[in-house]
Amino acid sequence: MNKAYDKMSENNNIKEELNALGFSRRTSKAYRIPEGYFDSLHDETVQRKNRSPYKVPEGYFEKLPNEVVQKLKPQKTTVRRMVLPWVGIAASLLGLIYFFGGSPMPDQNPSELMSSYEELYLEDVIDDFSDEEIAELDQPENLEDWDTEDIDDYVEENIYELNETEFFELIDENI
Amino acid sequence: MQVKNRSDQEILDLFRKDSSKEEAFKILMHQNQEKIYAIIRNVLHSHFDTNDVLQNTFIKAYRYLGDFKGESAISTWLYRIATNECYNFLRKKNKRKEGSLDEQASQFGEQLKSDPYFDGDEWEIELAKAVDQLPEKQKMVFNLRYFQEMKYAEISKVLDTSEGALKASFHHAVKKIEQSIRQNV
Repeated sequence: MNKAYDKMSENNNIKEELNALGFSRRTSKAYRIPEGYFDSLHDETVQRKNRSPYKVPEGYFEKLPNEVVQKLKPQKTTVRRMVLPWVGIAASLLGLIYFFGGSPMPDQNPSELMSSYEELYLEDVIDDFSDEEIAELDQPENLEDWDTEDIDDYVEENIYELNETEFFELIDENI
Repeated sequence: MQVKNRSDQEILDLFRKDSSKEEAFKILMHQNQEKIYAIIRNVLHSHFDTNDVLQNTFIKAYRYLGDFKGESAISTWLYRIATNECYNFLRKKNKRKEGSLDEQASQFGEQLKSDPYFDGDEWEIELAKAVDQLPEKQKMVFNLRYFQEMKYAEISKVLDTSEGALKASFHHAVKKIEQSIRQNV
């Protein structure tokens, strides 16, 4: 380690450490200083350091725990809510296969792949639904518009977090 | 809401009982949310982005708290989840960034000025802009050391990085920020 790091390791006080790194505000003799300025400078500096320019909406922290706990509670499951995530995940997996080689359908673009899988999937599960539930089903509005970044994001958020067992369970159960 | 502070062990004991799981989690949130909010906010700057990442952090914490082994303080473990969530968020956001670094910095400065939840002066805007230009790791190290005043030993646990490497990162970050502020203020 060089000398600068040695100085940093000598103290655990951030202000002393910044001083050792020469990170301080400039002062100039060309400017006059209000009387008593330096008497209160330390307190004002500490206040400024502790003051955050970032504001938080009123009552935010009081409401947050309940808001998060509400999100953790199981939601009422509708057919749409039940089906769409699996269509999305399946489409993402097909997207992955398409992009990383071994494309089963090289002439189709990702949105065509998604649409064709979506149809297959709905045909496969539709027998289990009542007429009422079928009436609730409609085509996902945004899936066809997904670009490669959307697929990457979806895979990152939903697939990468699964461990190996969960990943293969998901495939067994849904594809 | 007044919530009595509890030790990590008390929170874990409460969390492992179905009847007090929710209460334990709310206590955990009350005890840690402001500090974690500050960690995220100093990196992401926008309250709304911070709120998303903060909620994701706690949702993940809820999912895995039952398996928490107690090898660190719960707060350190939460900071670690929060920093990982920040990295994920930044990676996605960076993919969508366009324009040169100067253009991005200028656009970022304008966003800050028009943000109703930001009332920093010119120096604070320049500081935020300089921090925003740092590579992810340096940004996080600077944030935890400068704004949160964490000791290197704790940052080392949060970021899983040696203290020597953290000191080097902080040193480089301070020099870059100092240079950026000198140029612009």
